[in-house]
Amino acid sequence: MNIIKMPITLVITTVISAFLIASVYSITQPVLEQKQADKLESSFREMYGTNIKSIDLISENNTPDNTAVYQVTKLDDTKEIIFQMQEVGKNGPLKVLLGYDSNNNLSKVQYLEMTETPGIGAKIAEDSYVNTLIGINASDPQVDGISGASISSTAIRTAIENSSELLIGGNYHE
Amino acid sequence: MNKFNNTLINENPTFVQFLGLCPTLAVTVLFSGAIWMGISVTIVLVLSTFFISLFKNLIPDGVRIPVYTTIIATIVTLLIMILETYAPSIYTQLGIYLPLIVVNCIVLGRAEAFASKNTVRASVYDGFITGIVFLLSLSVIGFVRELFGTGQIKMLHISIMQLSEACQLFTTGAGAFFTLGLLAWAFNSFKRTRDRNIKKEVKVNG
Repeated sequence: MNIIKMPITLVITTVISAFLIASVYSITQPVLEQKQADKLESSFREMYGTNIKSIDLISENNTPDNTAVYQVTKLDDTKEIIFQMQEVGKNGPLKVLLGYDSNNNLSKVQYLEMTETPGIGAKIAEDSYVNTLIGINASDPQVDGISGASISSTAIRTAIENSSELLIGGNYHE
Repeated sequence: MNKFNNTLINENPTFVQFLGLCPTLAVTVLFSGAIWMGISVTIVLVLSTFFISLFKNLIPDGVRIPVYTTIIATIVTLLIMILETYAPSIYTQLGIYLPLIVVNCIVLGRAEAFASKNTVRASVYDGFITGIVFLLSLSVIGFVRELFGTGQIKMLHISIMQLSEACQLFTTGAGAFFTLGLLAWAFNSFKRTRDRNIKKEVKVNG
């Protein structure tokens, strides 16, 4: 009797579990996708203010993992290429948007997800550090590290180096 | 209240039993992380002890542990999905330690040691008390580490010194061990004095 009861109990448990997870997923997933889209949109607003005519997704995921490339057309019709990069930070993933102008100079750095340790790794998001990154040319990206926060500053350095390589290698500017 | 005192002092999961040390050491770098971890574990404990004690007579003994694990894993997965959607900042702060609640010894320990043998009401109460004690222990560690490691408690807007003057050792993994060790020492010496006093009282009264 027990030999039948045991697998049946397990099957029932897993079926109920799968049903619960699937039903909650169907509720939360659309909300989550909407939120992520809103977050991206507001990040672009923070980077360029109202100086945006249009935002186009150029490519997604055919470049290294979790990256996407966007093109922002400003009001004066100049175009900037935005790379969404993901690197491994100290406490979790580091997601960042890096904007390059038509001369391949880094013009904007906007963090989407940043969980670096406050006071140490989180220095990579402070203005004093971000300002040293602005203007870096994609053909020769020289990124300074932060002593004591090597994992975090290596993550942002890798993001800039990888996006520079993609920018130089790919033909994104029309 | 008696049950609370007993769990807090004699069966404290963190300072006496040393269970669930992985989140205890990892998320307590910030006071807020400790609070959210404690609340998440309390929710999982209450729900899992409720379902396990409710269905305890239907579950054959041979597949007891797999069924408990499935129940706990389901609750944790639901919690993760809800947090990711409605509280993304908590979700990113707790990171990998959120799914790891599934293997937290405190949760399976209460299921196996208490909920599988007691009524629904007693089990949920037990789970809730254990969760609250875990929350308290974590927040003490988190409080000490954030205060001395960064000079401030962001969540409570307390600031005692500049970041540059703070002892950043407390924010590292080694600092977690030092803090836990010192607090466990203080806790257990307090407990020993208390036990001795109780013994004396019993002697005098008896």
